[in-house]
Amino acid sequence: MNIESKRLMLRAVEPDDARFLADIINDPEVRSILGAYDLVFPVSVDMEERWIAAESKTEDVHLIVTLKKGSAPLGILSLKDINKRNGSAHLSIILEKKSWDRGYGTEAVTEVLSFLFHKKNMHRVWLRVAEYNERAIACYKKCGFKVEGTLREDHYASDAWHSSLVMSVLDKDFRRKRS
Amino acid sequence: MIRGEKVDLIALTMDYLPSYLKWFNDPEVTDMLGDTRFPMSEGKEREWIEQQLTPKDSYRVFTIRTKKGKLIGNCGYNDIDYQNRYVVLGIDIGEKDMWDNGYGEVVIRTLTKIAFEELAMHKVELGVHSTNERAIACYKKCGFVIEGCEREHDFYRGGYIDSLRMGILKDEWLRLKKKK
Repeated sequence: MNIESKRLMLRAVEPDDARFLADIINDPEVRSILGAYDLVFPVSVDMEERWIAAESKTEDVHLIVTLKKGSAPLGILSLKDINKRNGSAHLSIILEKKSWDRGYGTEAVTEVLSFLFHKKNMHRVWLRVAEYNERAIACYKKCGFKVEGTLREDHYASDAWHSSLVMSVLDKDFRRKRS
Repeated sequence: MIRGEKVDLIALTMDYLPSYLKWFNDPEVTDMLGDTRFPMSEGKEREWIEQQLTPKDSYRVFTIRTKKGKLIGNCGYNDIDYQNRYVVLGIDIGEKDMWDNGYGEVVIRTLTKIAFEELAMHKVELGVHSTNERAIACYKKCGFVIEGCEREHDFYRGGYIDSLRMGILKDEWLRLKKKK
C-alpha cells in the first residue's frame, strides 16, 4: 500500500533504491544541511544496499518519495524510534536538490502526518533539524511542528560547533490546524 | 511488579513452572477458559513459559501473587492493540480454594487501571461464557457492560454455549473513579 498526496506518492524503500540514496547523500549541498544526520564520509551503492537490507529487519519505516506521474525517486522520508505505547515516532526527510523549493517536502510530510494521526492513531511526531537549515524549519512549521528545544552544539561541521532544534507536532495540534 | 489491592501481578519466571503445571492440568480451571486442553507435559509447559520470557508488544502474561506470597493464578492482556487502543483481559485463578475470595475482582480492577493509566488505552474488554454467572457479576462490579453476545461461540461440556463480550470505555471508567 502506498501513501498518496496531490502530486506525490510514498512507497516502501527497495534494494534498487541504493543508487539513488548514495547519490543524494553524496551530494555536498544536500549533506551540508543535514547536520543532524552525522554524515561525514562518502557512501557507496554497495553500502546503501547493505543499509537497506539491515533496515528491513528493524521496526523503522523508510519511504521513497516519488511523483505520482513517473516513478523517479525525489527523496526519502523515514520514521524511526516508533514507540507504540506512547504513540510517538521520529520523522526525517531528505529530498534531492532539484526537487527543493516546490513544496514537495511540505506535501509529503503533511500527508504522512495525516496517515500517522488519522489512520495509525499516533499521538506525537518529532524531529531534529540543524538550526541553520532554514528551509527545512519553515517547511516543518507549515506542517504544524513547533520548536520545543535546542540541542546545544550537538554537531561539528565546517570547523565549528552547531546546534539543532527539536520540533514536534501532536495529534491535537494537527487536528486543530486542519479544521 | 504491579501492586494491586490484596495481590501483586508479577512477571513470569521459570521458577513458577510447578504452579503453572498444576493449574493448567486442572480441568475445572482450564475449561472456563474456553479451551479444553490435553494433559500438559512438563516439557510443553516449560516451552510455553520460555516463550513468555521474550515478551511481545501484542500480549503479556502476569502471575498473581497474594500479599502473603502465595501464587494463585495468572492473568494478563491477551491482546494489546496500540493502534485501536484497546486491550483484551484474561484471568484465571488456578488455586481453586482461592475462588470466591474477591481476588478476581482486584485483578480485573488492577489490569483495567494499568490499561487506562499507563497504556493510554481507550477501551478494556473481555470475553466470558454466558453461563459463568460468577465471573459476569464480578466484571459488572468492575464497571464492565455487556456489549454483545457471540452466539454458540464456545463448545463447552458437550454443547455449544454463548460467549458474551464485555467492555468498559475510558470515560466510563473515569466517571466510576470520580464517584468513589
